[in-house]
Amino acid sequence: MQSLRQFLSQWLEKVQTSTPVDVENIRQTLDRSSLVELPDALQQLQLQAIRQLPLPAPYLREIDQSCLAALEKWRSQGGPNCLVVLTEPVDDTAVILRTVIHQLNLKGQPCHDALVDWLQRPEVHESQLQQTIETALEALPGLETDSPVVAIPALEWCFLRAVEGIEAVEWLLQSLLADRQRFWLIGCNRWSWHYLNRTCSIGACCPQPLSLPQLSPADLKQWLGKLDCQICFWVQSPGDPESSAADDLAAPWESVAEQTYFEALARNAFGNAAVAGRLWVRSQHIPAEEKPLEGSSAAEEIYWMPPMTPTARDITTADRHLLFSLLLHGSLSLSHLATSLAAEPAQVQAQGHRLHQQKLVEIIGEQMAVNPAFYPGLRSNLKQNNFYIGGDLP
Amino acid sequence: MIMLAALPPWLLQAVASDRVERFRNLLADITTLKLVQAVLIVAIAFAALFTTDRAINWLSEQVPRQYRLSIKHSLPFWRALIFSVSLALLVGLFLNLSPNNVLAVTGTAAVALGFAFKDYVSSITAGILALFERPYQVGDRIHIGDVYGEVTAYGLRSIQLKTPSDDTVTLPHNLIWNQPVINTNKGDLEAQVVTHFYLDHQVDGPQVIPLLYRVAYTSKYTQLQMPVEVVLEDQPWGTHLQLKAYPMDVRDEFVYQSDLTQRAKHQFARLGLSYPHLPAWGQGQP
Repeated sequence: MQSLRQFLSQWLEKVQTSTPVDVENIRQTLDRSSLVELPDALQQLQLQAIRQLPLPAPYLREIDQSCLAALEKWRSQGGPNCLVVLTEPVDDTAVILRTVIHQLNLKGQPCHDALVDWLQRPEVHESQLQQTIETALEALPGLETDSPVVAIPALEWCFLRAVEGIEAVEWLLQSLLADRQRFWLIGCNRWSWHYLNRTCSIGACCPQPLSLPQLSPADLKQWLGKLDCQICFWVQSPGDPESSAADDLAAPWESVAEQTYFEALARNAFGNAAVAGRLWVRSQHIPAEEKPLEGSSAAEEIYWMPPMTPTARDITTADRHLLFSLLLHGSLSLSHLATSLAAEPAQVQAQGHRLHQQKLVEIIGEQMAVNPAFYPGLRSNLKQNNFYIGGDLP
Repeated sequence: MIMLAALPPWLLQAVASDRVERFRNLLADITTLKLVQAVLIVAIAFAALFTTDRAINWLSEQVPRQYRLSIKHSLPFWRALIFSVSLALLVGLFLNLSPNNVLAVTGTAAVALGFAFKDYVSSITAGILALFERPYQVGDRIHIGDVYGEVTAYGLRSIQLKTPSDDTVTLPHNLIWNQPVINTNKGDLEAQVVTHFYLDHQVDGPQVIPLLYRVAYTSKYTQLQMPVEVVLEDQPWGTHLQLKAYPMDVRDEFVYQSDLTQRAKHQFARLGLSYPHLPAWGQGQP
């Protein structure tokens, strides 16, 4: 009875996520069963290197083309004076938009960052959020001095799921609608956009938001290929085609194993760069007996396991509320998270710490965010538990 | 009886012998083995019922919320199946079920049992009908009479409700013949929650109504795919507002209501909105 219950319990956990395959189970089917993930220090070095990579070319290309087309339409035909770029909750929306701003400036299309002094969500009480946004917008250059393209790199920084936090973004929406003299380029977390559209009808200012494209296996290879990493062995799952360099493979593939790996990576990451980067790091394994020298930035031998999304185990309803709040806002400080959940900070801190130990939540400075590797599984889990997530993936 | 008394003794004896013979033909031979089998069947049936109850309840709590109620709704059907199979096996053990025997048994017992078990049969009949009409299902939150709660068990004769104060109430199915059944969620995960607020006449409606909408939209429990509505009504003593919204899970009904009330009151205090001042009664006043 106990083993039957255990079996059912394990089967149910798999049903709860769309890609609930556990790396442990896969590893057991392979010959090289003594492989372990990279030590935390090496993983952090790899992640740091990924953060310093330029954005994937398809992202920049899509936003650039859409922005220029929308600008042209606004100037010539009186189209909407706004383009919203939707990102996934685990993307760094501000980095993406600021890269686009820089690119537009280089191309001779001046674009001003309305939140230029903001490196992250301002740590102010929600009642002061509107005032903070007003101060930022007042610093914008006048219309007569420059081409009026203004960017809001991360709209999710401008709201908090609290009564006064919504008032701030409602005020911002009114300002955008009233100011037809400027073109607004807005970056926003998809879940935040759907939430604000439901609560404030923010979609009225921009009826056709642009979603970041899904990256193909070749796109991911091109993007991650900029990293200086060593490929020693491709470790395959049972049933994969034999790993061999085939002359008739189309570019950019050098072997069937490589192609299979990146196809799995693109599929499991839903073509999202942030998720793919995490899975890419997690798929690197070393022999258990190998111990990299302290301070070394590489291991002797690296085995590339099939990239799998990890499963979030044993999360409660309260955990789901916390994780949903983080995904809704992208990242939050402890005090803002407690406000969003209408809970005591001490209670939220204990809960967040427990999720951090399970690696579901990352803490960077004072900000908490969901680990991108868990995003596909969590998204599915929250949807099945009746949470209002940001629509279907593109 | 008079007609029987008029019969000659040899004919009376023949009729009596015939009835005894028919009764003997109806009953199968009762052996020790059959008794043991019967006890085993009953024991297995009880064990199966117990296991099914536990398994269905456990399974329903493990799966995602979307599937919880679907699994709970299957419980009455499993119980009915176990009862039917057990009864069929027992009847087959002890009775020779030829068509004549079946007619004899039902004809003789029907009248007696009908009077003795009138209400019981009425409840069972109502329970079977309710399986198809579905005024309530396991997992629904219903009002019957003065009782409100979640249907946690669906038996042949009765249902069990778990009330908000954690009481378990057993109600016979035949209540549906005469009493209205108010089902708040009807198989859905969401059910509307109405939260009442009372403010002074001086309060500005256009200020308060959007505020209450925001209170609902910013609650972590709110199901944003369902509509939110605020209704304002004037009363002699003040303004009555109703905030109608849906939580993601009907089980969060009361904690949701508490969350909305607490956060709304915080906003009322922030904006300096006043509550109604009720007149002082007594002291010679009309």
